[in-house]
Amino acid sequence: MRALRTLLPALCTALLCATFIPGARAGVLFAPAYTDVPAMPNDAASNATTTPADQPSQPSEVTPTSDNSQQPVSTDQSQATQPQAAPSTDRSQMSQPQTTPSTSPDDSNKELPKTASPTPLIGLIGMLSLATALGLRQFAKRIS
Amino acid sequence: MISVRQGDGSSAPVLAFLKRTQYVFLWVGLIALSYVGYVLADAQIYQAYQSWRLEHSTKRDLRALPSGLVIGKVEIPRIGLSAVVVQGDSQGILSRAVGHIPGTALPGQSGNMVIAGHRDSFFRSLRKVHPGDRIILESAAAFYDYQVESTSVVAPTDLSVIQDSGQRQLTLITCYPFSWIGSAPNRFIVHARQIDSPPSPPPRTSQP
Repeated sequence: MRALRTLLPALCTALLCATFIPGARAGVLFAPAYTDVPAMPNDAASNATTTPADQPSQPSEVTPTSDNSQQPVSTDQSQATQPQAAPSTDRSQMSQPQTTPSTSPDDSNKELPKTASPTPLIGLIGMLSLATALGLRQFAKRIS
Repeated sequence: MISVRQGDGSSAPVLAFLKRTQYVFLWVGLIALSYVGYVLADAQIYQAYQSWRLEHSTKRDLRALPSGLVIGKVEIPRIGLSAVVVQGDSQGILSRAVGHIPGTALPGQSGNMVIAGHRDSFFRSLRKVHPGDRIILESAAAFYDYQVESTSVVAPTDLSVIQDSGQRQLTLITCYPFSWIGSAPNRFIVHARQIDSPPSPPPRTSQP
């Protein structure tokens, strides 16, 4: 129990730090998640380069994909030379080469993602262990 | 079966062994359940925090989506499903959120947007989904409405479900059967198509 009292605060502190402070995990897992959430290129297009007068029926249907029929009308000639350009309000971004994520899944994926976690199995082991401990306790009481 | 003579001193070693074994099982059980509790609490805290950030975020146009970036939130109101969507499909990501498969379409884009999630956490309620159910996908700047068209069960090697059909589709993937413990042999697929109504901007509190 003394060891538990010593280790428990340190363990809790480590768990809290690992949860809320990226630390060594920065840049590995969720480091970019705490930046501003990006607007999708479509969203930027709908807010920046299209107006209800341009597309009165579907003002937000403009996408930066290969669907050329839905490309927004732009006055910037340099942007017209980029077939998959993402519309944006920032002029500095317009001068940069703009790429959008591919719409085809990676060829490296040979299987669908594994969507099973070991958590239920660990929970089941924990429950069985506790039940076994209680059973042993009752058995020891009976024979003592 | 352990036979112990009662009232005899020879039962002491057996009792000591039982006591030690009992403590071993007790600690194993407590540690395992504590780990499960930590995983569940961590996922809930992450979901709540990222949902709050999504509601208070400002728009930013990125050229590439790094793994781990929050890109939106998926909801199915009828079955009470609500989960933050994070870019990537690694185990670390899927333990805290549902993952957007890299390379598939993004919200609002033409193409097949594929989202995967654990059947024992965020996507557990997918077993109650029916054709016609409404799926709401919230990005940083707009809501997108989808309608469930069908569900299917496929093998893990069947990649046809994530292929791009050129239409605005949403595909949800989770393991099947739902009551399976461990790595399930199949995948449960929900096919949805975007409703024609234009995406509506969510009410947001703009940051200074």
